[in-house]
Amino acid sequence: MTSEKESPRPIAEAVQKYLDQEGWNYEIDERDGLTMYGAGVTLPNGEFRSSFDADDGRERFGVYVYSAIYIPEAKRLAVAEYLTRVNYTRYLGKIEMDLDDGEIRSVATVTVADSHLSQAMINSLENAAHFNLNDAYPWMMAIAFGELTPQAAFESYQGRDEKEAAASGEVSA
Amino acid sequence: MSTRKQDSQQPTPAPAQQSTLVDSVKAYLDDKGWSYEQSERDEGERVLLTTRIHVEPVVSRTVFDIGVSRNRLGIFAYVPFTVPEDQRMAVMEYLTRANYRLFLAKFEFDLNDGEWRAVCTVIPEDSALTVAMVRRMRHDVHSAIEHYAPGMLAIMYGRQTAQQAWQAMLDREAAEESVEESDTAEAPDAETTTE
Repeated sequence: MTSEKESPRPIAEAVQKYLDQEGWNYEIDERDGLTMYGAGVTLPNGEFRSSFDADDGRERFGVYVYSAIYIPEAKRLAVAEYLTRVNYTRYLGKIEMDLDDGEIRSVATVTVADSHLSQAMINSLENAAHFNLNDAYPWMMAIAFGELTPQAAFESYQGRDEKEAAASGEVSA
Repeated sequence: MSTRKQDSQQPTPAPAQQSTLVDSVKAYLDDKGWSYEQSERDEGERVLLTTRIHVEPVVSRTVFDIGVSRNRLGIFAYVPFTVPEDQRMAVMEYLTRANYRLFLAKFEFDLNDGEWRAVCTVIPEDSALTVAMVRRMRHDVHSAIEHYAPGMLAIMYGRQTAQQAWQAMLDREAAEESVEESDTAEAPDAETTTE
């Protein structure tokens, strides 16, 4: 039994500790049993909004990374096709789109039932959520606001620098 | 606004936990009384425990894929059909909507051959992979299939559009008077049985 287990909010406390140690500048919002730590983040391919959602009641944790750019209605199915192909290559996490309004977000989640959320797990999920979206983002935008087809976008995505892919933790299922 | 650098996502070797991953999955399967086949891939780097589970309305071949040195577990639940080429765009639209609602699990759809599967993965790093974690992950992948497969089948065999199938799924939820989030409840495993 860890000391975190003895806390009534071990997941939220672990997340806050992690963010403090990593130097994140965040805001805290509590809603429906969730403690959400939100922050803006700049990655090489764009600026995003991140939320670290601690759910102690259900013993689970998720990292959400939101795009500030919404996909126009006319391009949503094309982007969905691209994301379907991208998601098939990702081990941890997925990129989601709300087909009703074009919102894009990258998600990495875990349950820690009867276990505990370690700093290393938070780091792993943080990396997956951010890098999944950052890596796929340029081609997503090229489909949404250019003439690139989903198939061509995915082929280009697959051919991106291998070091970038390795850094993103890409692994095939 | 914070500025983040891209750090490598290095797998954390955890020799002390290597047996725990396999043991935790086996403990769960044994507790359920489910039979499974064990095999190895990549010269023992991956241990696969494969079972067949009845998940209404299908029988799912479900693989518990344990990466020994990578210290990770993936549960891959397959359905016994592939989507014909002329229906893949409709199915893709339906699954995109479904994925937006799933917390732990996700649907993966191979647009090249029509295979689709529900997946849940975890890299426990230096935390223990408990039987309770395996239980929730297993529950959520099969709940996802149970909840969304009828719409998939309606597209494939009922000639419904993605929108029609999705609306029918929403209507079913409303009729049941409960928003059945596929990944919220702790796993009452009784609804599934092995073949």
